[in-house]
Amino acid sequence: MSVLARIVAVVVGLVTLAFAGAGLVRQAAMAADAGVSWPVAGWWSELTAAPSAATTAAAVGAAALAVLLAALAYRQVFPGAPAQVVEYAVPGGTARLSVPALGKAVRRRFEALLPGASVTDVGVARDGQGWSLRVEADLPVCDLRQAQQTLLQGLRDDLRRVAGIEIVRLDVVARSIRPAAEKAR
Amino acid sequence: MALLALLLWLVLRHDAEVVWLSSATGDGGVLAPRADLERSLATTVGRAHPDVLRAQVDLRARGAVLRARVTVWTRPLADPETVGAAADAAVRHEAERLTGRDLDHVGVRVRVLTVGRLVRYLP
Repeated sequence: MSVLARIVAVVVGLVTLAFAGAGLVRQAAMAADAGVSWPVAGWWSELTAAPSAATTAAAVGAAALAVLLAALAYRQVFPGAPAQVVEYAVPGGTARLSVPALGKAVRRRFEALLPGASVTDVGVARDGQGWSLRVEADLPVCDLRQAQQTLLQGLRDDLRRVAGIEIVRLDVVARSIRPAAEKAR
Repeated sequence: MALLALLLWLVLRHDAEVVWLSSATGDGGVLAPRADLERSLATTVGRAHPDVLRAQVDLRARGAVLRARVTVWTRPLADPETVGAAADAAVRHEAERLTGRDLDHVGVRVRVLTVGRLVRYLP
């Protein structure tokens, strides 16, 4: 999420929270004391008293947007299980790649290339440019950029030879970075 | 309202606690926990000069720009300039060792402790 999108989301969320809070207080005050008169704002009355086609369209649009955003939020929190097999076209037809098997190979190679590292998860994806790897791991203290390049080169060579795929991108998600002695404890 | 608050929390949660170190060639990078990097940097700064009693490093990344704000607490009568220079050099060196590049900006604040406050900062 970009900084601008985040700012917009936070502002919209806070404004909506403020409106919802005001509505809650209004309802509570009116329920607590029947004598309280708390009329809603004029623009809201105009909007809801005699709804026009434009009002209906705006409401439908807002509802659709809310559903879309809720779905996106759900997908962000629960991304779902990744595919276990990736099929891709090769000159002779179609090839199938077992993601768990690839993950095991990547884990072994990763931990051999970077002693002290401990891989916890491996993800693989393919787009128009080639294959991308995402490795989640506990890392030892080291030059992280240099390590990423060394790992990329090593995994690229290895997977080209073993699986015939070309790795073009490696994203390493460090769960922790600890000195080797501390990791051993 | 609870749902809205949850969504807001999802937007604001721990993204600020990681630092993205992209590779120079654009073929990926490392997403590193900020606290771990800061701890390593602070440990190094703490050893940068004998007068340093405690060090705290606040690492910030915006895009490819990495900044560090260092606060060091020193023994009474320590020379702030000498300690500041040592802390600056140490944090730059350690950041380069960890991230493969120099920091774009380092701000060092040296706090020389009075004798009365010293006891709270002694290891």
